[in-house]
Amino acid sequence: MMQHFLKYVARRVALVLTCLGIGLFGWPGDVGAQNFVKVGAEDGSGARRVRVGEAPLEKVAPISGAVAAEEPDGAASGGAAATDPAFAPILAAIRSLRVPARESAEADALRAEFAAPARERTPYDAAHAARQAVR
Amino acid sequence: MDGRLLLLTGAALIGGSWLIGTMNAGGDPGPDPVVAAHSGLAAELAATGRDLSDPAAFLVPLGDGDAIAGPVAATEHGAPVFIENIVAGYARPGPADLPGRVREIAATGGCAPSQPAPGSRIAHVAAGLPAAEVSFHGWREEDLAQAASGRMDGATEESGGVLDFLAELAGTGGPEPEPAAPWRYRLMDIAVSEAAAPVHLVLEAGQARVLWNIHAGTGTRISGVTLLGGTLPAIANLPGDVPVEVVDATALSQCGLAPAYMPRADDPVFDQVASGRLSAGAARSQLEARAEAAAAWDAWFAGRFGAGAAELRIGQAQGGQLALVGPLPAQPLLRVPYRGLAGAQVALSAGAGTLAVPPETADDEMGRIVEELARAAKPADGVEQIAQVAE
Repeated sequence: MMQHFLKYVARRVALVLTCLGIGLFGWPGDVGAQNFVKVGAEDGSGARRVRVGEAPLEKVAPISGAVAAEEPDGAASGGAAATDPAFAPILAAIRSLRVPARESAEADALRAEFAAPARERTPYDAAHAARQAVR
Repeated sequence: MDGRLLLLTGAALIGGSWLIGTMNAGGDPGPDPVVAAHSGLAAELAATGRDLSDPAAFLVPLGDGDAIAGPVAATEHGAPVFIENIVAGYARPGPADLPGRVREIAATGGCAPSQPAPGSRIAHVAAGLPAAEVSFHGWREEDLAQAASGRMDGATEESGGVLDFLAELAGTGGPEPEPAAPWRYRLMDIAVSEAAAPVHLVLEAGQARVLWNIHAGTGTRISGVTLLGGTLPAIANLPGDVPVEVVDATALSQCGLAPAYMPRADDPVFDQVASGRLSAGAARSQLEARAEAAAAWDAWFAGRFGAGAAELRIGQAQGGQLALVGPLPAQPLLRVPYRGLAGAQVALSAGAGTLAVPPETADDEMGRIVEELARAAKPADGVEQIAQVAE
């Protein structure tokens, strides 16, 4: 009698553990509840997956830990922009706008010598287009 | 507990997780990643006190140009313009918008693309790393060999499932490095409204894979396209009779050339000198090298297209989405009609492998090929040997 009871309990425990295991971790190669939890967290933050290998190939600036560390008080988190190689440098550039420019005679001299002159911004017109035409 | 109840609970768990998995893999593509990124950047820009109703507020100085941090287009009108004022029905392609056909472009020999047709207007658009990814992928054998070589170097024991999860719970598992993806493209839209003369498009990319999508307005004519720089540059929605020539980054570097521009007054290098992070001497050598490269690029460009690259350039260094060539539409009805990527013809260099599937699917499929290549190659094999295996 006792033996039958123990077998019964063992079978039921095995069934429950199997079902829980499949439900949580997924069938091999398939999605489980744990994946859902992770995906839900990513979607909620607006973040997206980052292809780490893309950065050196595309020659874009890496997302440095310093960017996050230097986040000024009261600034927004940057959201999804912080994790996309196309936007992370822009985010860093926006944050650098908050830092007042330093005065330096050396930097000014280099700027005067090397910086491209501000481009003349003329409104578009037909004459402008004609100037760009191949003779 | 009743056995039937247990069975029912188990079935519900399995069914539920299957359903969740299906929902995640299929239907809902989630929020547009560019919109999500822009909303984060908009919050940052607002914190700097910018007025976001002005499209110019979304320009951020970056390197030798501007970066775009919002839904605005680059123009030659002295200021950026909101995209909705240029293109009617603009809708960034989603993962399901798959290009349909590929037209092969014959390689251009040497460093001298053909002269544009007489009377045509040169429109030079530059894009560094555009904002959006697309469901189009292209690669060369050496790209796969490079990725396989990288995988062999950084090969780690495969793990996953329960063990991975438990390691994560215990705090001993880190994020697994993902493989390189040298097949992904980013999208740059070109709206052409110039009807006064035929337009010759000179489309310049840095190192990235850029897919240029052409939206031609009423009465416009494109007389030719030159794709400069970039890796396997591609162009969509271009009429089949328009000649296209490619001088990609590899070909340019073989000619001793690379797109280069002089720094602007707000270039970070000057700030680095001011803050003492870079010595004036080191900055000077850097700047002299940049000046030399920019002069060489400008001279070569002017020799081919009649004016300097910097003078004609439209576009942003980073985060670009759309550039307008020609006058601004005078009223909403005259906006340039949008042409999507679904079923579009893409012109691409001959000999490249292509795949039109969503990026995640491409990563899975290409990842398998790279994995097989890495397995087939011997440990001592270099990239060239692996490329032979790939053939």
